[in-house]
Amino acid sequence: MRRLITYFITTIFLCGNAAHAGVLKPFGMSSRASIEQAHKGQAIILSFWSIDCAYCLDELSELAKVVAKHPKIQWVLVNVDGLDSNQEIIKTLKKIPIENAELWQFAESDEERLRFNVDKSWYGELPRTYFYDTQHQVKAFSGTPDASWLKAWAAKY
Amino acid sequence: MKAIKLTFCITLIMLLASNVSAHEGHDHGPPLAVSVAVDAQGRLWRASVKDGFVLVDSALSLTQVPTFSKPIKVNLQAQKIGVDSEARPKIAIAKNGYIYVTWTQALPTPYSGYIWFARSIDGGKSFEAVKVVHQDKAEITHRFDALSVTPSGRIYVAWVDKRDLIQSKKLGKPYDGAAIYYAISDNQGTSFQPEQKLADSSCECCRIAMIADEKDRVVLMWRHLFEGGVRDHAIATLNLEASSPAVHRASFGHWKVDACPHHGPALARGGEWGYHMAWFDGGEKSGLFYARMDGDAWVTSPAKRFGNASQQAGHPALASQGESVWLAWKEISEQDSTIQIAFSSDGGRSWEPPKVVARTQGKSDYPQLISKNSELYLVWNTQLDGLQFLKVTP
Repeated sequence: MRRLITYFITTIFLCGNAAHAGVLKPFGMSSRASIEQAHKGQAIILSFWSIDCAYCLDELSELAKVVAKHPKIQWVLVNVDGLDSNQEIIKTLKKIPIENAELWQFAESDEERLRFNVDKSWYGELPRTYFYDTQHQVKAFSGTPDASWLKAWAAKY
Repeated sequence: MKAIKLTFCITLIMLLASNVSAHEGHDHGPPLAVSVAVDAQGRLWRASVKDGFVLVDSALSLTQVPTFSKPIKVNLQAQKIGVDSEARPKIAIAKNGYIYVTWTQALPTPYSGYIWFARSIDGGKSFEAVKVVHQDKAEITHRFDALSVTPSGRIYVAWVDKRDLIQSKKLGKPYDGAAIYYAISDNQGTSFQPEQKLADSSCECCRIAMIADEKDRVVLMWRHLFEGGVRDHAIATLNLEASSPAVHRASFGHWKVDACPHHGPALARGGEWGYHMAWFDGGEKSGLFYARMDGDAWVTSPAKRFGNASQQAGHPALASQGESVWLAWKEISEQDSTIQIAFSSDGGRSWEPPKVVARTQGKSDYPQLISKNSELYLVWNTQLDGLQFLKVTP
């Protein structure tokens, strides 16, 4: 019931701030594939992050600058904190310019298996980011990618 | 326009409400991250978290799925409690039967927390008023508590603390990571002495492994930030007679990453010679590793790799009895999760092939190894099969 009330409050909050935060889409077992499908032929940055990870905020702030400079890149943010953390996720996202980003959040009860489903070689370290070129060749990073690499990668778009 | 927006919102609320109901239909239940301890009578005690309360319950008849007593609440006011994999309430039992519990309360400021302590002096019938272990009450990181009680009854609580990082930032000085702090009680938990720092530059988000020895000391192992942002492990013995504990490097995986690994190590006493250690390394050669520390700082090399890295072998537990050593870890696949155990009869020099000792579908906790009447048991909390209590044989 408490979760239900949280949902009501969050939803009302979201309605009031839809332009800023948008609605967090539920990220499930087939979501990575559907994100890839939806942005076929487009460069994507797929960012997994948590409100509980100080490095994540730094990383998201850096990526926000990159996508602002290279608007052809589609930015997709996936929060991994689970449905109970909605309000904190939205509060945290207010600190980052995410106007054109897609916002998702983990929505499977078994978050460990969902993570495994996303990428077998991802053990849960955060931030975890996947850089897709337009052919959807993917480069995965745990932590922050090298600044010069990121600049060179983004310059293509 | 307003009416349209209102209608949209109401519809959205209803949709989400039905979604929530469906979500709760296959109920997750309370968090699976628990801790266990065995008392002198062989009773298994468990600390868990539900709806903002730390719960303690126990089981005397230890079948494969023990039946626990009615739990009692440790904290009487609900808190947001850290309870996800690396964070969990801790429980330890002194020889005199006193039961000690610690946990981390998450505070509103991101990454901040308090370490709480409570004790039961009546064999778990009730818990005394809860208290914060540390004197520093700033709303900053005090998280990832570890708890040990020595054979003579000294209590150690250690945790990850960011006061030095914050102070350095104020002074415009660089500071990597967090710090390991600890506090000691020499009066069975009536009070704790002011906390002290063990080491600067720990990793910010991994559990600390801590074990007590018969000389009233504890040994700690944690993921540390070495020069160049490398997240290897450190080990130190807290010996109150020594003025400042020597911190030694315990692993050499050279994983350089600005990230939260959320993956702490395991530690077990070896013979007179030292300690068994197990940990996870990320990066290009990611996986689970074992090594032993002989003497103060002599680490076997190269570290021995265990488990199937393509099934995320990780989250180790270690136990030893004389020269016998058991290493347990978890692996996951699309269908299920397993616990594997490897055995060594010669103090970790050579190992028999690992065996799958438990399997579950659905969610599960990390494995724990616990001794009861000099027999070893695997404790594994699972969503679908309950808390598994399985005898481990060589």
